[in-house]
Amino acid sequence: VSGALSMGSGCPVGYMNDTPALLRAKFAEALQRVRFVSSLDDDVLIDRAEAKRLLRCDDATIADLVAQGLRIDQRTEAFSYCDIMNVGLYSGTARSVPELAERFITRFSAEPPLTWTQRRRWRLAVEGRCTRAGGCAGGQWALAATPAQAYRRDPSDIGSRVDTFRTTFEAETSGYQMEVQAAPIRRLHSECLERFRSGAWQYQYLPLGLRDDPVAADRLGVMNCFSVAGWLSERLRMLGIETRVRHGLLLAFMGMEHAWVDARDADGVFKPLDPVIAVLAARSAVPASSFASFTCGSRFNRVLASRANTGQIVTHACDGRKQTVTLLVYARPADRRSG
Amino acid sequence: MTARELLIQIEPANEHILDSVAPDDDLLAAGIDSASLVELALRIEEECRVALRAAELDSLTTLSGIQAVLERHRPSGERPANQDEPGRDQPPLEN
Repeated sequence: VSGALSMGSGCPVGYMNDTPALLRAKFAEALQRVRFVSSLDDDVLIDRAEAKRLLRCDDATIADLVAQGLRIDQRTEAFSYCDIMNVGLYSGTARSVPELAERFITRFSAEPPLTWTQRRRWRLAVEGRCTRAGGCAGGQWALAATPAQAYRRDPSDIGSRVDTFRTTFEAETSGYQMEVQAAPIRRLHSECLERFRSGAWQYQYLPLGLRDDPVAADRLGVMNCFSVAGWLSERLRMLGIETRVRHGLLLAFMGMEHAWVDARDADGVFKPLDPVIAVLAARSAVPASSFASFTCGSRFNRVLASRANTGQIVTHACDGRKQTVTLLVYARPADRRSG
Repeated sequence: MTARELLIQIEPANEHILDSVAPDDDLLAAGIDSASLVELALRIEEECRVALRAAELDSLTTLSGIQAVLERHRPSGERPANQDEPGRDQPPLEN
């Protein structure tokens, strides 16, 4: 994707011998690529150990990044979660957690298209962690929006620790292939791809407030799946096209929360638009040639839609207020080979 | 190297957990940290110099699944460390 850092062909060759100095240089270059558009106060703060874990780097690299301008909360010596994820994402080290997540999540796009729609059964573990500064004060957890196709949830896993929510369940997914008939819908899907391609938009991790404010994110030129879904929804509604913003989980070796928009096509059928996954696949995998067009109207079998269309899937309140939750999603096949 | 040896190399504390894990047991459910599995995927890709298929990534959840992936991508000329290791006769992966 022009305007964003290309991370290669999906084949991880050539970085094994990166020296510590080269790794530090790559992270430092990432500082120039990331668009720092929100204040530290708007984001979840993480400590140095977590920053090292996400970047998979050493203390010297963190110190180097701070010296070169990485923002740090002077009082708590904490970092913005999104800053760290974005520096990792644009580092080109091919080792940071955000790079690995993107690489593993989009790997399916290189498989034969037939495999994108087959019925799948999954075993999922969803883990939420409280991000309250100073530590979790203990409180209530809830799976606010049980994914629509989920079943056999094990309630005994819920709330086993006060600072962490963990639940496991099985789910079944399937996809379908459809083509969008309405030209305005196809045009807006293409416009999203072009905005990323031109660099007008850069995919980044966004604080909750910004991800849910597509107008502001568009103005700042930083978008993720949530803001793109919101932006598309608004633009389509302006054209008189009915939409539903959808939230859910993207199922993969390292899964994550995901958002897309369903638009009512000329034939009256709601069809999904998910241009962001096409953008990520283009830079982190070797997607099949039809993958980008597939994300306009078709649905792949690695999304688990939530019943709720807003807010976080796992919610938590402690210290008298709702807290931001970081969500980890692990999905593996529940078939004969995985027991 | 076997799947078990690789997981212990990544995190020595995994040895205690793996003592009671059967070849087809779910590793996450058994207590293996997800970070170990991510590190495992990265190591296989680095050391075998391959990009694992999505179905192969999905299968890195049991010792037998990991072993099958290791066997498939073992550099030519390198013999399996243990001929009795589970997963040697796994069917081809499907996605």
